[in-house]
Amino acid sequence: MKNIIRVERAVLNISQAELAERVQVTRQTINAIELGKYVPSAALAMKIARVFGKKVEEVFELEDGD
Amino acid sequence: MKNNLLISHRWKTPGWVLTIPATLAGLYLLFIEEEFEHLCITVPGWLDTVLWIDGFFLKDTSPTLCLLDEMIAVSLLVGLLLLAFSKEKVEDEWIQRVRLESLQWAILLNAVLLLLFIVFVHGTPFFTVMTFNMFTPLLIFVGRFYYILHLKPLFSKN
Repeated sequence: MKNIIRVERAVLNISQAELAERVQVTRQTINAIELGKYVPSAALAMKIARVFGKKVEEVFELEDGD
Repeated sequence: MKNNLLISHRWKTPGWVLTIPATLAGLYLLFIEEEFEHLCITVPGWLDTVLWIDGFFLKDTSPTLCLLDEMIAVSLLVGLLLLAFSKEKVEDEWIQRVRLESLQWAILLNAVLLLLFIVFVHGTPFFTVMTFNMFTPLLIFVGRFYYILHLKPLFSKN
């Protein structure tokens, strides 16, 4: 699953650690999601999208093979 | 994600305090094979059957029981259990996945190592293998879990 978390973070000018704090996970979790190494649960994906003021499908996108 | 088997983060420190000295003492005892006499007690003969000190067929009237190896093994097991089952400060879903992967690694690697040792180690040295094997699943789990969470990020650019 692809995502634009890094881009959206840049728009809001917040670090991985700040985003992690807002959605109550570790910085490593945000890093793993950004790198595409971990696909978050629906609940976490919704929390992240809410921080950016967007819908989940605007932040996360299915890839071929998902 | 709720995991009711996990205990408080505060148990990590006691876990390390038990595990590190017990590991060092265990390796020392395994290779030096020294007994500390002040930790040896003489138990009544009738207790031999209950505790199975010398086995059912080799009974002394008053066998000696040296407690050092038991103390080390209990400390190591309790320490490793505390490390394996205590929560991280923030226990999130990615950490839960690292836990699951580490458990899978531990079971798989332990089985592969055991298979190799069964094939290549025979006789009395196999007893040493079995001694290690009592602790390897937890050791591999704890090693892999803490490597991914705390050591790998130190070497990673991201």
